[in-house]
Formats: sequence, C-alpha cells, structure tokens
Amino acid sequence: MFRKITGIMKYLKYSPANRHSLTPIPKDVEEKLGLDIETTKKRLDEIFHHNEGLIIRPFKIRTFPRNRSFICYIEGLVDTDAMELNVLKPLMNQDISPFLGIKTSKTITSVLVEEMITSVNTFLVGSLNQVVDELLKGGTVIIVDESPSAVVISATHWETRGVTEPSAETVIRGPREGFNEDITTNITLIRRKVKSPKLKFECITRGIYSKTNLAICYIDGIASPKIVEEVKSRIEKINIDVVLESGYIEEFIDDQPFSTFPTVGTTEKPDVVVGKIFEGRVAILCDGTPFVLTVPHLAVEHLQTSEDYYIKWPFATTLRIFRLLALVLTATLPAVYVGVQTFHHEIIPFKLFLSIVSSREPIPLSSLTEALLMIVIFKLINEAGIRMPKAVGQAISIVGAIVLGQGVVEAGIASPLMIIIVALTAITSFVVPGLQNSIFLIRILLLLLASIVGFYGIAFGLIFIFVYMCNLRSFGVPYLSPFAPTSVEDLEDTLIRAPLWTLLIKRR
Amino acid sequence: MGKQVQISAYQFTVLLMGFIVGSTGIIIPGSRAGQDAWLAYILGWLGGFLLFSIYLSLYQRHPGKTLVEIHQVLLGKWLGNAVSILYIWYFLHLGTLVLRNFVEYTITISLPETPLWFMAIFSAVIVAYSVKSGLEVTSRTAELLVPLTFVFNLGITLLLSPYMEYKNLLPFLEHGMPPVLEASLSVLTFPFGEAVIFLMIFPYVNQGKALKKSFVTAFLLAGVLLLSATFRDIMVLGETGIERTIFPPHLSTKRIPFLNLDPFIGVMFYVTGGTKMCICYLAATMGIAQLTKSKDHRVFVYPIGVLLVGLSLWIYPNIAEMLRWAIEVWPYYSIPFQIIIPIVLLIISMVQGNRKTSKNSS
Repeated sequence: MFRKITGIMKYLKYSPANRHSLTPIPKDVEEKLGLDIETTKKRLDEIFHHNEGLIIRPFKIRTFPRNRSFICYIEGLVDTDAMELNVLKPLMNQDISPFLGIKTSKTITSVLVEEMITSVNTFLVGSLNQVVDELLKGGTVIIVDESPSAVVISATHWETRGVTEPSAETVIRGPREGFNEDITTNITLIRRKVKSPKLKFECITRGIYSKTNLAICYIDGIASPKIVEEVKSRIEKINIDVVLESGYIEEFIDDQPFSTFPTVGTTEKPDVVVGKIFEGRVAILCDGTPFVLTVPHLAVEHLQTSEDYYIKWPFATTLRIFRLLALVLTATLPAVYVGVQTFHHEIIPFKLFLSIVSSREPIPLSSLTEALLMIVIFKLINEAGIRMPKAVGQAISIVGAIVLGQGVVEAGIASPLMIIIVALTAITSFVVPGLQNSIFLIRILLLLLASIVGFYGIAFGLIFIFVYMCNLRSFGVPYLSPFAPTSVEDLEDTLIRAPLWTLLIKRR
Repeated sequence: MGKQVQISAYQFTVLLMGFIVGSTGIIIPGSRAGQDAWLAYILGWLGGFLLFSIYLSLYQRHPGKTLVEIHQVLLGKWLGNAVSILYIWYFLHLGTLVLRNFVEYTITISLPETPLWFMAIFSAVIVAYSVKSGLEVTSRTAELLVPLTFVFNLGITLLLSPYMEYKNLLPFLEHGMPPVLEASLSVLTFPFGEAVIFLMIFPYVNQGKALKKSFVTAFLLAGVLLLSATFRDIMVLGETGIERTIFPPHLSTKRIPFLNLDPFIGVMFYVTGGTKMCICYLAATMGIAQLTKSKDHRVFVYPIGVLLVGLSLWIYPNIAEMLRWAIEVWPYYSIPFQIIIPIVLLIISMVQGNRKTSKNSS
C-alpha cells in the first residue's frame, strides 16, 4: 500500500520535460527519385491515393522538347497566379537553347532553376520523400524525365486572418496590432520592430503528423545561451502527433507540470514579445496560433503590462502598486471576512461588527457556506459568459445581476456584505488575468483555512504558498525572483517602474 | 569543500535577523530586571556580539565545515560525534520550545478552544514542508516575509507612542546591579547565544567573506527592533504589567484604541518564530545527515518532525511551567552549548593551529 503511494508520488515528480521520447519517431525510408517520369507519377498517385487535392499537369518545356515533364501541386495551398506567370509562362514560351551552347555538365533541372524560372524561392530536391513533404507544405514541384532531381518552387498562398487587435489584451496606449495564426506573418511582425541581425529565429518542426513549424526567437548576446540551449533541447524531446496550439508545447516544456502557477508566459502582442526578448527571454512562436510563449516566466510579470512602459513612470508605478493590492485582495478578501466573523470580531471597530451581524441575522447558513456558495455561483456565471454565444449575453447578465444578485439577498441566502465581498473579489481577479486560475484555488484554500483557525489559517496558508512559490523555477530561474532571491538592481522594474532611461542604461 | 546548496549573504542576514527576533518578539527579554530590563537587554546584546564573534572565528579557522565536521576534526571521531549528538538534541529542544511557545500564544490569546495538538501539527507541517524544500527555499521565504515583521513592529510602536509613560522607566537600578546581571544572562542565552546554531549554516553562504558584515548588520537591526519593543512595553505597561503578564506585547497592543492587532502579532510571531523553527529543524536534520554520512537530509525530515511535535506537546505540562523553564532553567542549561563548548573548541583549534604552523616552520 505504502509502496503504491510512493510509486504514485514518484510518478508525480516525473516531469515530461525530462522524459525521453518513449517511442522513436517513425522515419520513412529514403526513396530516391526515379529517372523515369511514369514511375514517379505512379508513386505519387499511390501516396496521395484517395486524396483528391493533388493536381498533376503534364507540359512541355520549350527548350527541351524531348523530355516529358509535369508540374504538380496541392490545390488551395499554392499561389497559382504566380505559378502561371513565373514558371509555366517562361518554360512553355521561351526557347533558350541557342544560349546554352554545349554545357553538357548541367542537368536539365539545374538549368531550369538557374536560367528560366523567375520565382524567388526555388530549389532542387533529390528524393521522393522530400517531394512529398514540399508538396504538403505548399510547394509546387516540377519533375522532368531522365532527371535525378525535382524542382521545387515555394510560393504559397492561403487565406489568413488579418492583423487585428487581440481581444484579450487591449491597450489604451500602445500598438494595437496582434499576432495572427500564420507564423510567417508573426515573424514579420517581430522583425519589423527589431532591425538587427542579432535577432535570431531558429525553426524546429514538431508533430509527427501536423509537422507544425515552431520558431525560437531571441536576441543573440542578450538571451542567456544556457536558457536558449535548454529551450531547444526541451522542444526537441517533444514527441507528439499533432501540435494545434502553443499550449501543447507549453505543457511539454513546463518545469513544473503539476504546478498551479503558470511558469510559461503567453502573449498575443508583438510589442510585448519584443520587450520580453530584450529582457533576455526566449520566445517560442507556433504556427497556427496567435499565442506566443515566453520563457522564463516569473511571478512578477503578472504585475507588469506593456502599457506600463508607454506612460509616464510615476503613473506606471502607481498602477503596479494597485495591481499588487488587487492581487492581495482577490486572494484573501473572502478568507479575511470569514476569519473576522468567526474568530476575530475584536479586530474591527465594534459598530462595524454590529452592522455585519445585523445584516447576517436572517441568514441561516454559516459564513463559510455563504462565501463558498457565492464564489461558486460567480465562477459559474463567469464560465458561462465565456462560452455562450454572444447573442445570449444579455440574458446571462440579467440573470447574474438581478436574479442572483438581488434575489439571493432577498431570499435570505447571502448577506449584502457577502455580495460586496464576492463582487470585489471578482473584479480584482480580472486585474491580474494571468493568475486568475491559480488565485481561485488559493482563495478557496485560504477560505477553508480561515474557517478553521481564523487569521492563523490565512497566515499558514499564505506562508505555505510562499514556500511553494519559492520552490518553483522557470527554466532554472527562481519563480519569485527578483524578490526572492533578492537582487537589488532588478527591483527597479518590479513594484516600481523606474524611469526608462535608468532601465536602458543598465541594459548596456 | 563546497556545499551544493548556496545562499547569499543577504539571505543569511535575513535568516539571522528572523532567528534573533524569533520567539523573543512576544516576551520581554530580561523581564526579571523589572523596569531595568532595557539595561539587561543591552548588556546581553553586547555579550551576544562577543559570543557570535567567537562562533565566527571558530568557523573561519575551519572554513567550509559545519559544526558536526568541526567536532570530528577537533575532538576526534568518538568524542566529536558524541558532542554532535548533544548539540543535535539541543537544536531539537530549541525548536520544540519555539513551537510550544507559538502554540501556547495562539491558544491563550485568540483560539482558546482549539486543541494544542491541532495547532502544533498544523504549524509544524508548514515548517516541515519548508525544511523538506531545503535551505535555499527556506531562506528565500524568509527573505520575503521577515522584512514585513519589521514594518509591523514599527507600526505598532508608532501607534503606541502616545501611550508611553517615561516615568515607568524610573527608578533606575532600584535593586542594584545583581538582578540586572542575572537578567542579562538570560538575554544572552535567549536569543543571542542561540545563534550558535548558525555554525551549521555558515558553510552554505556563498560569500564567506561577507559573513562578518552580515552578522553585524543582522545583530544591529534585530537588536534595535527588540530594544525598541522592550522600551515600548516597559513604558506602556509599567513594571507591574511586565512582571505579571504572560505575553506583554500582546497586552500593550491592546492599548491601541479601536483596533485589536492580536492576530497580527501572532502572525508576525509565526513568521519569525517559524524562521527560527526552520533553522533549528534544518540544523538538526542536517546534523543527523552528516553524522550518518547520508547525502540527503530530506530523509530525516518526517521522523524529526514527528519528534518535534511529540516533544513539544509532552515536554511541558502547561504554559506556566513552560515560561518558568524558559526563564529560569534555559540560561543555565544553555551555558555549556553556547559558551563553554565553543570556547573550548576555539582554544583547541588555536593550539592545534599553532602546533601545525610551528611544525611547518621547523
């Protein structure tokens, strides 16, 4: 029995980040391109069997009229206008054989690439697997008879969402653009802000089937090489079929997969990403999602927003202090209320206590039950508000505000003060959106502890959470730094936002 | 010999401050001297400086070695280990005392119906979790929380300033020096001499050279904090108040109108006392680990934790007994551990060192 429990505990310690891939990724056998065009065509037909998208169009190259050839691509991925203009038109119309002379050393395909096709991104591949890969990525392939290599022209074109303002991270002042689902656009958005060759993007493909492109982005010379290496090695260990969102990556590279605090940051805004990589962090872009990961991610980042750096520093500092206040309130307010009511009446002025007691008089429930009930109800309304279709929104807000808010008081289930407390808790929890889920758990924990031993319970709970947070690390960096371990130089961008010029001087 | 876990000099300072304030924050050090407690306190404080210098110079003669290892070097394997076992008992006993102190405080002041064992287990579990996470995590938590207690204490002192009566300090030296000296011995051994436990922590500080500075800073800050608290309590409560009450700071905060900050004093006490408990607990587990040549002290955390809670419940029948013991017996009980053995060790180390250097020169 005991052994079983320790076994489970051992499993809990077992972080997927450190796990080596259990099954080796199946690798296709390298298949050379045949010289005979008919066999290649047959193989392609076999591979894309029951897959109607593949389009094969035979044509003749004017310069080499004796060699049969065909062009193939997958419908919908390719910019067909560009293909017609830059590839088919010159190949079928021009005859450059008079200029070629007797350069027998060159193969037909290399002549095509070097002298005829005007597309920018054009190259040769030698194996059938690569041909298939390129086709799936959106390339156009030209295969010529009696030639050992195939020409790939990569000019993709598909519909993407425009660059719009992200709905979850709105700002009053600052750039409004947000990432979209296309990794190339996202990389461009970052590159446009940093015009330096020190900005590095390293591409890795993950997902056995999805072959999703990931890009690790950092500034050479600012990011710690150790962290960059660590990120790369952790991503390389990922063994998964499909990567749909950066959340998949996050779960695999997380230091503490069982932790209730996020140790990987996400953002939708290019200016935030650029700010983070200039602080020495590493960003991970993932194709197919506007959410970019940043690591290492520390607790203090929840108090910072990009806007802090765009407004004057005294205001930014005030805002940060308010954010901390909100964080404290949202975590402890219900617990303090219950603690005061149950154990420490003497701590508040007597008159206030009397008014609390008189408002609670008709309520049959204990203050703990009351608090839990209201918190759960609010959480449900919140969850419903996110998932429901927009058209029903009004109904929910009426139900939430009037039916529940007023009805609960009139029915004598909760006291008006409790409603105020829960409402305040809810409002403040939106001030630090990144920690909402962790704080919810902390709130419940503190509430339960406060109902058992009052303020001592809250203190025990908070100290436990502090010890727990001190235990956490994000890519080797202690989660609570620069508060603990304290480093005085780094404190100037935490609770206070020091003037930008002092921050910038330090960066040199 | 480098230890794997490393803490910074600042973290060490904070740990030492937390340790000294520890459980002293809820009693008046040197209260047996009545209105002259502050004088007794200052004498004990100065003596504390001296004692800690002895510990520090002992460590600096054996850099990178914990107390257990120093014993083995200086006293030989058998005698050294025997002394180490005594010390581990002493650390454990100290931790027990602090735990019981805290539990008694909470139960006497705010939660009279809560059973003793419940609070003991509850508070020990969190300390055990912190110890299990290691010295690094403990000191990081201390770094976050201990400075808050200073703010709290300052706030309480300021709120009480209108109620201070300077007359309460008079008459000066009513009964002459003897009671003051006696009380200063109890201040010396509780809390300052207890810092002998840091001989177990020294090797883990990564800036060995900054130790002296950190120790002076910590002694000054924590000392001033306790001194101000002593003055505050004497002046607010008067002599009779000090002698009669069990937890004077609690009684003096009651004088603040409209507010009752009892629970905050308790919480503050838990932060500093918890730091002290953590250090005692850590020192005991690490000592055992080093004695048994075990690489990981974490194995011993739960057994020792059970012992800690069990002892704290069993060792004193009630709060009066506990306080009497802490004030009357503890100073004499501590003298060998805090004063005699370290001085003997230092002398042995110096003699051995001289012999070695003379050997080298000849």
